[in-house]
Amino acid sequence: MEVILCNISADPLKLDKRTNYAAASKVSLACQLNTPINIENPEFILSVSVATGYNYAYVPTWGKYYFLHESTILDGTRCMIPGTCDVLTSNADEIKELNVRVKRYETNRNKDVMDNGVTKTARTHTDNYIFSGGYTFVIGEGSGLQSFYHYVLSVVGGDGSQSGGGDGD
Amino acid sequence: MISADFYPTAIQFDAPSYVPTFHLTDTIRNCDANAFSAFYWLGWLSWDNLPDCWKLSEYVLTNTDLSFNIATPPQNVNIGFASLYDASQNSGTVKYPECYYDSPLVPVSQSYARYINKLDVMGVGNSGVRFGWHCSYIYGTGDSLTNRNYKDGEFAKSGKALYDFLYGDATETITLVTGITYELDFNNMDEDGSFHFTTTYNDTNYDFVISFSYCASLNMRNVSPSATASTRNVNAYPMYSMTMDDNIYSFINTGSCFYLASGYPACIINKQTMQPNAAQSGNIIGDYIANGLVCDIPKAFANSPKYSRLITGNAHVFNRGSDIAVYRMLTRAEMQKIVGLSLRQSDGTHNTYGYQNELSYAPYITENNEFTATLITGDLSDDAFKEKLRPWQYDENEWEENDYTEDDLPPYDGGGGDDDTDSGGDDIRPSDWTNLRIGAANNFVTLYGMTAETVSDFGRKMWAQLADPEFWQMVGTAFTNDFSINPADMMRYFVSLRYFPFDVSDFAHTTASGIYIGRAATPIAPSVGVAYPLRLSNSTVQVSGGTLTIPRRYNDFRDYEPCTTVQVHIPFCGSVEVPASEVMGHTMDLTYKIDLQTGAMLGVLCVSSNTYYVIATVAGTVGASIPITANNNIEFLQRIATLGGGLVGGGVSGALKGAMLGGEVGAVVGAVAGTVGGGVGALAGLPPVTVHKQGNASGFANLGGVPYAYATVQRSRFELPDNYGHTTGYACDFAATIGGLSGYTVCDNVDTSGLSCNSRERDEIKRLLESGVYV
Repeated sequence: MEVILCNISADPLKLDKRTNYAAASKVSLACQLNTPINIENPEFILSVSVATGYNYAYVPTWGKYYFLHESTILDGTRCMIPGTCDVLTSNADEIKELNVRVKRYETNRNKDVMDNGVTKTARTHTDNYIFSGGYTFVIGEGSGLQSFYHYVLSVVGGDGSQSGGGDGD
Repeated sequence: MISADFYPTAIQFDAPSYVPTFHLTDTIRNCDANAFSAFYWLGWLSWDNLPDCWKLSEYVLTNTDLSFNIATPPQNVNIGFASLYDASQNSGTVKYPECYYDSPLVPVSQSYARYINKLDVMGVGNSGVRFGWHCSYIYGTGDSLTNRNYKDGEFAKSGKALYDFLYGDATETITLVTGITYELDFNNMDEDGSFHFTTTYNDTNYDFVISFSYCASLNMRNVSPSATASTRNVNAYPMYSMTMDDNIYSFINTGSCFYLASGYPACIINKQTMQPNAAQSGNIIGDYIANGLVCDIPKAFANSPKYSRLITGNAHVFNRGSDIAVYRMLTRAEMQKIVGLSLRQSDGTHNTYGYQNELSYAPYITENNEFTATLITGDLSDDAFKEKLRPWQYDENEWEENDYTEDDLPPYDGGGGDDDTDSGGDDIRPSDWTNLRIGAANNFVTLYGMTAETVSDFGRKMWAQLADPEFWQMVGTAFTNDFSINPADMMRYFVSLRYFPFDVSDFAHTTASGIYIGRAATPIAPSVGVAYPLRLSNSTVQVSGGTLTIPRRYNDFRDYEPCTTVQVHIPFCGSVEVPASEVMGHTMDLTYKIDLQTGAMLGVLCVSSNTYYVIATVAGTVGASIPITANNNIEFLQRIATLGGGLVGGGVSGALKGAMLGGEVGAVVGAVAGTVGGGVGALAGLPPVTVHKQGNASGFANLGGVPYAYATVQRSRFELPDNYGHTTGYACDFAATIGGLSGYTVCDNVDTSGLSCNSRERDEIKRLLESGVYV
């Protein structure tokens, strides 16, 4: 089976790495697969003594892309490279058709959505805002205590002119 | 005065280069030779790979390199490097370079005083490690060479100290403040040279960085060798014996000297090239040589494996005139950054540590070993330039550039809705009790507005009349005929006397009137010339506290809890926290509702957005109660009444007249002649007086608060890394086809039914999409 090896620099989380793959220098090698064969995590046995410098592979037979891991030298003429299927790139076209609910996005945001990812520092900023147009109470010297009615005396009784009435006479 | 355009072309760096050469251009070569008293060249080196690559290099000022024009050398120019290092491994507990404020190394008395060291010495000491908080500047004030008596509180201070010293009113003769800080992550330095601590100092992992941000200068004394270095100190007198009698040899001290038994890297050399692994000559390090000490920095470093991440700057040498020479240590490993060049100008009255004028230059080397430079240039008379030099300091009133602000963020895709759509429904309004007459001003209780003068007059009149037989006759007529009330109880007819911090006549309906007591038909009128009391027709008043619209700061979720809190402070009522979501961007309307009889106040806070509604009510006391009666005096009057056979009946007049013949009564009359305010004290000459309070005078304390309403909005601050969107993604919530997106994307509850792959792959795809992928 043919496996095409290459080295790409794309982040593993990149959805579609085919552009990176296309731009990379590739080596096509015949390989065997270590049995039992797990298509998601195959172990490619290559007829080369050592295969280094490859981190990505494409298997045309399966149409799948793989992340390659450390190779193991089996003997003087063969080495084995385990791979893990890159499910994102292998299914990129279908994934791109998915209609999803996006909770986080690189270039857009919803202002009113609480973002718990933002780091809240220990520092705060305090602003004071004074009510405008309101009455400012006047206290102390210089407040016109001598000439303004700041005192209220509460006295039992009423207008003396009415005192004659209702007295039980 | 140094012009601002002096610097842009003043220095160039060869780049990339592990051993950068810097050139001074014609500008500086041709500058006024007397323009500068010193300029400092700060640098730091990382010695991650020092055992392999450390090497001393030298720079001699020539026309082609560090090109001071030898023919017309700029006088008084000092060039130097700074150093910072750790010497603990060979000196017991000493972990930091030791620098001495009062070091005798450089005589203070030097009149020409072009020395940098004496007042430039700074550093961190074994007993005075104070990096401050987020502090870029540290300076030492060790006051004793012998004792290393670092003053903990002064040894290291925040950059504000520098700023105050340089540009403020501080009169402290500060040692040179320098930018030393430490950081575990060396690469986490801002382009402007500032650092942000990511960890606290770790005794086992020394990571020092010379921070130069806005740094005026830096000059570390060298930790100098001493054959008898104690466990506590790394002695610092490598230049102890150097002579300072030649003002040509003005110099900046320091260097990067390590205490090692096998050798002492010395960096202070005058007019000579410093040779590694070779004895140095010259008077400055004469002691070294005399003691067989060798400058052996490579060896020192090679024997310092523990300094895996220690970063150091290095020595400086300098001079002026035709003797200019500059030496420095360089590393071929990682010349990570070179920072901070400052030039100082002597104003003729200040020496080099006068800091009167200074320019700073902060070049640095990028990760690719490319020099770049952020030029900070200007004159200290220029506020804008000073601002550039200003160290970071916490100012709660200042928003920092790195705050997570609206401008930092991408356009939003939702939210931030119209403020006026947040609420709806019916208006909820408080009652209007402007003319409320409940329980007062209703012939059961009558309220009188009084001036202070009226109160005083009334009190005086009351006390005087109590001793007046005619008054009692009047009172008897008023009271006893109808109620058989002992006149001694008369004071109980006074419910309260309160002081309000406003003119009640401004808010209540009033009629001028004498004061009627009980059923008395005759009011007590004020004395001639005294304002009449105002009979209040309503017992409550309503006063506007004003309106306030709190602006939004972020225009996003951070304007609300838990990121932002709002407290409204209502005079005499205290504070109430209101939901930020209710008031942010809306207008609050505050009304004070005041009960003139009890002094109670209710602050009613409403919000006017799409509707009008009450959001908070806070109760308090605005009327301060004033004591107005004295029981013992009542008892005393009762005795008076008894003497006359009681007040009941018509014999009261004669009885009182008889009583008044006694001196005691005369004393009372005299005593009460004062004002009410002085009543208690005026009665001091009488038998013990117990003041009976009709109210609680503690209300006065309540008047000591802020007399107007305000709101305190406390907003949290946030850090937002530049790559936040790319690495974390901004919070959002919208539906989209993945193929139409671009960039970092985190999905929620992905439905993978459209995929043709097997279930395990689906699960994996679902997991990845929900944890974040780059589309």
